[in-house]
Amino acid sequence: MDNDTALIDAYCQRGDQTAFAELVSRYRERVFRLTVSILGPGCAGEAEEVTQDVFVAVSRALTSFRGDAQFSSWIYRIAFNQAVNLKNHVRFRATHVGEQALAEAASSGPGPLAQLETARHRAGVMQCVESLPEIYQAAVRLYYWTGDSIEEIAELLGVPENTVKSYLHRARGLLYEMLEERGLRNA
Amino acid sequence: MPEREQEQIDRLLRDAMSGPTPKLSPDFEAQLARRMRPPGLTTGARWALILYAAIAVFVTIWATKDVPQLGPWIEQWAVPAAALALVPLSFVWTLRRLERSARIPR
Repeated sequence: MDNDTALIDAYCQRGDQTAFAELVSRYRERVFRLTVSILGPGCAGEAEEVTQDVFVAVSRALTSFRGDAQFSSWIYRIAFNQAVNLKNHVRFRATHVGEQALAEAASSGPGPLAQLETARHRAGVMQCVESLPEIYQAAVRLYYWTGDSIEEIAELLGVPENTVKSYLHRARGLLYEMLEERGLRNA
Repeated sequence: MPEREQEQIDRLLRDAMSGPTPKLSPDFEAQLARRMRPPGLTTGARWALILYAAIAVFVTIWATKDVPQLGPWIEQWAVPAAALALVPLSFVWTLRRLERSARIPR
């Protein structure tokens, strides 16, 4: 069974659990990357729960999937909506300089104070990213953090590649202004 | 924004986000399988249902023992006993269906 449609048919018509397991295996990593890019660093546990919610929802709603759109676009849309809903309902812990960063800063490496400053600087940048619109945040994290290509991001967000480039360009512009306001740009 | 500033922010972002990316836990599929499995009855509930079915059968036999034989014995008491036994089973089935649909994430 090469394509998604064959797997979907096998699951919907014959209740073939191995077909659904194959769909999970195909999409779990990408769905997880998308959800964690929306929820942000430090929320891997929540992103994994959302990823599970997505597959539970898909298993229940698969019979109503009409195939008008690609299965991948459908599942990524569900993932995006569920992650954004969770983010809107829960106040996530603010990014801060964690114990690990402080421990690293206090270690015997050259210039612990400089390391602490670097950690604070990174936290500042991450806070600015948190202030961006959801879709920009997702694009920025997918590109810079999880290392996805423009093509992959376009598929995950369900937009053309040029739109992803535009998101990244505008996000960098907004970040430039925010970082300048905070005096972090040249740090 | 000029190209130079774009590159500067690009470098800042690469540096700030250079940490390790999170991975799914190794037992992700096992956890998902547990969540997708329909909830089973507890042992107590299972025994209560068996007891109820047994009592329903015996009560039906006892209640109809003096009724004159009007037809084959299966119509006399087995059908009402089966109906009595099936009522709680259908109730539990409906309850589980409702529970299942309520758990679908919106």
